[in-house]
Amino acid sequence: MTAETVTCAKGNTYKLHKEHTLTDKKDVSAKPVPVESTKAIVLFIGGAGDKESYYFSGPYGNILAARAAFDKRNESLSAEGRYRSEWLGYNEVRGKQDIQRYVLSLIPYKSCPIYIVGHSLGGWNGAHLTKLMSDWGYRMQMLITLDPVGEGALVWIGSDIYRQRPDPVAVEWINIKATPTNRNSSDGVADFGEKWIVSCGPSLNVNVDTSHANALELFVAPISGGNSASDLLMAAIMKEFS
Amino acid sequence: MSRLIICVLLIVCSGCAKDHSKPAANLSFVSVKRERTLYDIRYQTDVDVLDLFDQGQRKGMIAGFLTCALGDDHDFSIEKAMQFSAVGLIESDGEPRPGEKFSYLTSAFLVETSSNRSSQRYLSRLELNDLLSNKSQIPCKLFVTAFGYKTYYSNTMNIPTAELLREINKPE
Repeated sequence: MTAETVTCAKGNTYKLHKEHTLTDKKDVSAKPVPVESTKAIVLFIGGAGDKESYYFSGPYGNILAARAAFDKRNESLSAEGRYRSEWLGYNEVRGKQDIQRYVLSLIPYKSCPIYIVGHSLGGWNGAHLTKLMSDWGYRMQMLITLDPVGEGALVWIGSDIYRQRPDPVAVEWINIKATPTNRNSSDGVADFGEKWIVSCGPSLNVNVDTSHANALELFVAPISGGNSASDLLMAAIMKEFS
Repeated sequence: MSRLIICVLLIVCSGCAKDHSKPAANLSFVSVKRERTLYDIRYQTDVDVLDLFDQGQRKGMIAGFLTCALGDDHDFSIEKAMQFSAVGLIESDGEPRPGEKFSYLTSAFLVETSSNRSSQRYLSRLELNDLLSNKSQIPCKLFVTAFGYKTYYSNTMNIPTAELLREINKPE
């Protein structure tokens, strides 16, 4: 119980002492305890030039488009207060101080299921985030990496990303690599940053015929039995509430 | 040395950010209708904004949004956080017939956005009435992003506030 603060005539402030009202020890009836309902938190983590310009390029809102499409699907859950999404930059999820400020402060309790969708450098740093948060006792339910990038030494020098290759920890991990038939300049930039070629680990590891920059298409393209990563994420969230 | 090389490369590349060849689209408002918490805004344009490169719908583009200013901040630039807005993706609303304008639909959330642009919160009916009560119309613009191009912005479209308030205040 929070103590009440009063100010006297001289301007000094004092805290009034308060006591809890205790239950009579003879009262053995069952007491209702308020429990916060399950809430799904989805972090959409963008890469270079997504949320902020990157060396004068962008911002393009790559993963913002994926987030907007997914928010629309979760309209009902959101209205009930059971769904929340965040748009973060890759540089906002690196380092304990930033993680505390931009991520942990959103999470009401440690058993709350966390879903991460990371694109490009956001996939790289998002994958690191799953490991860190898992080590801290958080529940990492799903990781979706959309054409993750970060292997290159040059991109490591010029960007706020982890140097070592990630070792993700999540109940489910979907990795999608962009393999466009018609390449555009974003694919050259991704090659320059060196894509993270994931050979083992994900529960689903697939290719999609679109360019690196198109995070929305990577997220909504059919990848498994006609289902997209967006569909699989939706199913995982609904399973949580069933 | 490596940092210098990367900076030089990226600065050189940034100089290549191109302007769109298509003119800024003129938007005309058609209708607004609330579906639970989403507001379906229909509008027409004189430019196919989902095909700015004449390669087919959504080809070459990254993101396309319609944003309407609900408060007094009318800065629509992608880098800025507009505190009170109606915002959603641009979707096609049927194939245009020859000579007709292009029709689009945006299912917009009416939200308050945090200053760092990370979080959004639905605005309540009371808050929306407060925000819109002294306005006769609200300005809207769409933007489309594409890698290597400057952000494409349309001209401003105005939505009559009375139509929006009717939907906000209609029974559930």
